[in-house]
Amino acid sequence: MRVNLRSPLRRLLAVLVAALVLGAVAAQVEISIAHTMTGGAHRVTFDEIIEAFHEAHPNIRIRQIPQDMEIYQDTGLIAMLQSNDPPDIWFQWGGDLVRRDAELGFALDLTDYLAEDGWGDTFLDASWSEGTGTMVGDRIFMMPYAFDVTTVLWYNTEIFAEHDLDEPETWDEFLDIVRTLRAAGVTPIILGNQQFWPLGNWAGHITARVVGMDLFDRVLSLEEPFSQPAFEEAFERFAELAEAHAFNRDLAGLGASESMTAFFQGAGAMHPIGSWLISNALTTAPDGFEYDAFNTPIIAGGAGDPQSIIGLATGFEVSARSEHVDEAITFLRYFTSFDNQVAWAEAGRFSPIEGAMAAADIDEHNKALADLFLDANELVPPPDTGYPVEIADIFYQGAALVAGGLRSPTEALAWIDEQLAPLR
Amino acid sequence: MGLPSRTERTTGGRAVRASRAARLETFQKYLFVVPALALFATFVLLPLASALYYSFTVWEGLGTPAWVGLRNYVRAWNDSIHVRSYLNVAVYIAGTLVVEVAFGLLVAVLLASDRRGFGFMRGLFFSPMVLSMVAAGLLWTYVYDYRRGLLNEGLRAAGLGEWAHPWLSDGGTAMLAVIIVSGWKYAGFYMIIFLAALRRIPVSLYEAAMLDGASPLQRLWHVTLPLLRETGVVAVLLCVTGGFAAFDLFFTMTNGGPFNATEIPTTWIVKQAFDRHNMGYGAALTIVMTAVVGVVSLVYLLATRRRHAVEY
Repeated sequence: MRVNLRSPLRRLLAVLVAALVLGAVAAQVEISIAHTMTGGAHRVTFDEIIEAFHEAHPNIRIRQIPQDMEIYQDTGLIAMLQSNDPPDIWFQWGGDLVRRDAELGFALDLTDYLAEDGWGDTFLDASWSEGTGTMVGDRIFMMPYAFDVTTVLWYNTEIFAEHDLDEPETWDEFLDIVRTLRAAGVTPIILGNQQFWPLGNWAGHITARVVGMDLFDRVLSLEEPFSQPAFEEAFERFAELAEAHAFNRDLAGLGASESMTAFFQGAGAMHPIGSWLISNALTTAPDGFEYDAFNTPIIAGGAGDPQSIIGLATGFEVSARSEHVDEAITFLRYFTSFDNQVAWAEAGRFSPIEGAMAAADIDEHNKALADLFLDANELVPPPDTGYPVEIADIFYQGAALVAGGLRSPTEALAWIDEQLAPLR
Repeated sequence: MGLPSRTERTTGGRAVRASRAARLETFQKYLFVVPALALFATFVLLPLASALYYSFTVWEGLGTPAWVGLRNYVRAWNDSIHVRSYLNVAVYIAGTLVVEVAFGLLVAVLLASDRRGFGFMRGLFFSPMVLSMVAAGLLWTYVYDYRRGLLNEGLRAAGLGEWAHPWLSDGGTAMLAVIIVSGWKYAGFYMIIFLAALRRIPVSLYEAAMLDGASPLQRLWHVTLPLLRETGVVAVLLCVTGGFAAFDLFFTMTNGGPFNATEIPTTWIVKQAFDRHNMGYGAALTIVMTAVVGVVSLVYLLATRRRHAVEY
């Protein structure tokens, strides 16, 4: 059908329609969100939530800026925050980075927004503490969107059954399992520690269990040296693992994601990594792959809480420079609405919204980890998010030197102190 | 004092005009240089000056840098991993001088012929050059992979499974593994450089040597190699400075690991500046590296300057 625009009335009508369309586009506000969701089931759900948000709020458009996690952590976010056009909302790990963003004035204080209409009350109580890393002092600077347990010991149930093994309760039982598997020619623990954090996170948990959270915090805050008996006792645990040949031979050179893939392929019996394994298993593990998890076993004589877990909250911060704070808050409220969070939980994330995990039809592993998180009396912050990354990195490398059998606990702790000397 | 005579006025006028013309010419010369200078200042001097400034600060990439004087340089001097990174890069450069330059020269001498098939073989040797370093690094990471890598699978298939080794995860083999890839990638490049130089050697020199009864080895030693000396100097300089600038191959294959066994200055700088957010310290390490490369290049060029260049 041809439209006849020669008639003056029709021309006027066309101009009016064009003006209306342009006006609508011009009135639309764009919100940019920088994050690290480059794939996986949760990214699909996030896209769906945004799509639904566009329909519910036609005057707001969401522009996603997804980046690879390591690029985002190293340079991506810093470059964006320093630019003339920082994102309105960005992903952040709870802890030291939230403190940094708050102190430098990048992150908006969300306390009053969360107090409106009881929005903050819809979150689990655990959301609002310095332990989970969402707060600085008594002010909230990060809206959590997921809790992550950063290390549990995932195990291949088939291999465990084949060797008649049960989940260990204590560290000694755990070492027995390692020795049994090694004697049977199975790699007990497969891990890719090329970047130090996979083993480092677990090392942080073991150390906090042995030395106690107070001393752990003082030493990681550089108030005391690493070379002291309690830390030597903790590092002895890594030496025990090295002596038992617990790890894969390519531990030091294998990447984190490659080692997870290898675990899915049965290359090792156990894999110490975080809760994100679940969503990766949904897309990467072969059909029929059965797995389960247990927390770091109880270490006899440890000064820390024997049932502690290591983890943190991850979430969104809002830019203090944003010209569209109201729209950004509108989106965050929409995203954390109960229904959306049920969908979020079903995509494999541990939702911080009260009741969402219970209402969701979720993977049994997710439910178990959620229970583990909620039942824990103590939350150990991962060193690389709870403390300055340089301190964590050096601590991780020291632990890896012992676990790799390259240095004794005493030597490794002295090496850590030597490396950290310029920061004291 | 009287007025100048007409002759004096004329001479004076000419002198003034000549002086003006000379000044104009000088001005024009500088005018032509201005765009190049502006670009150089913007893209080289300014970043260098900026890096120099940050090297005296503590700065995590955000917020305001805090002036700390020479503290970063003192730290660099005492940083055992930083010092080790220079030893590692020296080993790497020594290795690449063999597998890139020497091997490239050998291949050039062997393939400097127009016989059938030699052109194809030269093309084969040169072909890795068309790959990006990152692609080459990734490709070889798969070759060296402990579990499914081509090398270990080959060994297992040949009944030598005990020799299968985590090549990139062992501090004793990782650097060698990287050097081999570097040679695979760049030997063809040096082969082309030497081939070009070989083609410029007059055939008459070889004919004269043959008439004098020189054997092929003597012709190589007394004719070819002396006439390739200048090209060799350039090749070694390229290899040494390129070695210091190496980054992508190490980044993709080992990222300085395992346990700093392949840590070179560039990977350590990137770790400090970006992984640990120590921009100030990273900048200081960059300035140190610039100075080291500058001094090494200068010493090498002075030591090999054209004192006895052969004219032909």
